[in-house]
Amino acid sequence: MSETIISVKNLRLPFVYDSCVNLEVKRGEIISIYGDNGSGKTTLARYLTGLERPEKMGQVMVAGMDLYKKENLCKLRRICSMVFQSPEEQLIYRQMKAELAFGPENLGVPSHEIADRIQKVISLMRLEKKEDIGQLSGGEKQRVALADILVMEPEILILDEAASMQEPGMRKIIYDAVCRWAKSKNRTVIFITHFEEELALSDRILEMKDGQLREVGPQEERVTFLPFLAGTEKLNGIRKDTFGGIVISEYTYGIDVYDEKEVIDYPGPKIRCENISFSYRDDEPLIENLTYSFRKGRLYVIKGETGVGKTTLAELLAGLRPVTSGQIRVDDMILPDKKKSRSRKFRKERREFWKEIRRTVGYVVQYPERQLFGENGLDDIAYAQINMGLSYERAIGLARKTLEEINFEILNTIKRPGDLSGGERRSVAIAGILILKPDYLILDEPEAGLDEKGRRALEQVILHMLKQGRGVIVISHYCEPDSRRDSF
Amino acid sequence: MKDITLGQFHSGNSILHRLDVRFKLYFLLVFSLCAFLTHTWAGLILCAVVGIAAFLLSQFPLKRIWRQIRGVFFLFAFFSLIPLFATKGHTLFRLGFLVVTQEGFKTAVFLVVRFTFIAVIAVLVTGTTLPSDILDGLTEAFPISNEFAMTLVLALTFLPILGEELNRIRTAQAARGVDFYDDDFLTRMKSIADLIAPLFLAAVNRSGRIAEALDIRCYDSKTKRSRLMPLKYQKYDYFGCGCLLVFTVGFIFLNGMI
Repeated sequence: MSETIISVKNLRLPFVYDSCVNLEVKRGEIISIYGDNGSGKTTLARYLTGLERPEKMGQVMVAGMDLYKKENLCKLRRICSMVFQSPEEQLIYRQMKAELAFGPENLGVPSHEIADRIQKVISLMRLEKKEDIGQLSGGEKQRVALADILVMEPEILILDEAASMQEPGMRKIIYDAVCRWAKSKNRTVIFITHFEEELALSDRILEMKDGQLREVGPQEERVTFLPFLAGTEKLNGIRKDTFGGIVISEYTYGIDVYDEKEVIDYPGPKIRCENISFSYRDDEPLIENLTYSFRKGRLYVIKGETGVGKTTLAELLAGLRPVTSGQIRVDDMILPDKKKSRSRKFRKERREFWKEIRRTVGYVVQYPERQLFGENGLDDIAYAQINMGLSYERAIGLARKTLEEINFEILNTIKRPGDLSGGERRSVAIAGILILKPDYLILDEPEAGLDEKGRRALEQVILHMLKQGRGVIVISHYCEPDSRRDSF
Repeated sequence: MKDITLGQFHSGNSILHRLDVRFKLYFLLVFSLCAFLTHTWAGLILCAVVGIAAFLLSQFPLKRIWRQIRGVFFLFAFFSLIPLFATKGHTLFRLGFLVVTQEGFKTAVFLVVRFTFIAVIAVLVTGTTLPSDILDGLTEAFPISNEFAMTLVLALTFLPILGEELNRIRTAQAARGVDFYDDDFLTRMKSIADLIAPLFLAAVNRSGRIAEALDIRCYDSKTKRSRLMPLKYQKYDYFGCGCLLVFTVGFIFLNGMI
């Protein structure tokens, strides 16, 4: 039997009522921890890496070191490392080699070995030919963050939702590689996760609930993580189109009829993309000649590997960026292209035009809860309507109504944004767009980082929108609305 | 504000890119001293010529440099108005009731040219050197602490992060109906004020996260670090040192110090 490398005894987590965490991990084990948002998984990981200090001696022991003692922390970090969920916050440099070398350099690894390790980890994380980190997409940056830590070859590796932005194929490739590496070198891995794949790779599975860690037996029934929007009967997949790396699937709500002609020449209101192209720099177009229609009352799911331009497409549809060429028409309004948005003539009518666009197309950005603008939840939801020129009282009234419609507790939203839980903050941020009653709603990775409860609540909101005959566009890797017809 | 480029590295393969960071930092120091001290036209012209030569060697487009130094240029151009009109001496020409003297003209031109070219050289050094090299170069070339060097380098890397954060907040606000291009001045000022509070919060938040990232990656200013590419002087550097020597001697001569 191998030695115990991590031992946590009766640890009380701040902000988690009545918590008492116990954990023992043996060297070379791969374990998974899952649990609701705010249950304290990330906090536990922060204790293990010495970012938080335990209250008493002997509460948290890693590789024989008591983390209560400050002098142990430096030594601890050399053997126990962690990858956080959001990649940008972990990156130091913007050049790939310098970034990857930073950790090993701090450890004093000899030059030629650093070069070897970088080579290996670049191919492991599929980061070949990427030089400027500033130009990478969110998912690619997340792989850099993971590579940063892997290249240090820690004894204990804690991965806190470290692949949440990867598409399923890539996610499997990199986690298989991590586990192979860990098994061959007898390293310990702790996954903090909401995904089935990691659970399947683990030797043991633990659930964090009510401030306690509980082991989940292999035969025992546990929460299963369904893909987003799965298990809703009313959605029918009717169409799937590919544009470069972007895949758009269309679903009807309630009706199961599909008429090819109707889809293409549908005359009613829609967001129509006519041959649109977009490039950030002159020489490399990101989106090329895309023609598509987004109709009301239907659900569209946009997928594709990280970096193919999904978020950019969403921003184009919402009018937040002008297209380089082609045309986007929202109902009867033509979104201005690069030239027109700068022209003098357009400026005059601009104000009313944009207000109308914002009312028609609602766009929920990635991790919207990071940008809340109100004093409390309710204020924040009202923010958009106040910008539209409504009085404060009326906007708050509308905010309350919006919350009622999506069945969200009004009581909770009187808290300050800082006191809301992750799931609550996300709901507030989405309600802040719904208050505009948009005909089309675009959601960029709305389920990322949400627990089961949060996801189910979000599904209800989306179905509610569809029922009212509005169009919904979702960017998500883990969205499988119609499992019966995968091959359509 | 969309892209913050000040002091950012641009990859390339010019002679300036290949020079050792320590030499570049020494060069920046000597050049700045010379530019500060010069009091003859010949010395100033020499500094300008060296500045232009360095720019040509970097193979950077002029636009890139101009975007970074224009702030410095306009600032000093503004300040130079005071000596331009307020210095007493031999009259050069008159603008209405304002008198421009020969001495005032000289002071103003020196002020602008000096600082503009120091800015050019500084931008060229940071533009052709990896931040990771600057970190090592600073500690090896000068008697300063690791912490101080790291702080300088983090300040450089933090600028584009702030820019990205600002863009993110703007997108989120635009999606919620804020109009940044409103023609009404007051509304526009208010929408910009609305940006500042979240940006400040984000910056504070971010700095805490960066400290944690450094901890996690085992950065410790007291232990000795190894290097992926150890700093080594090469033939370009010896050639560069020669040029620097010629420049310094020429400068001293032109300023009549010997």
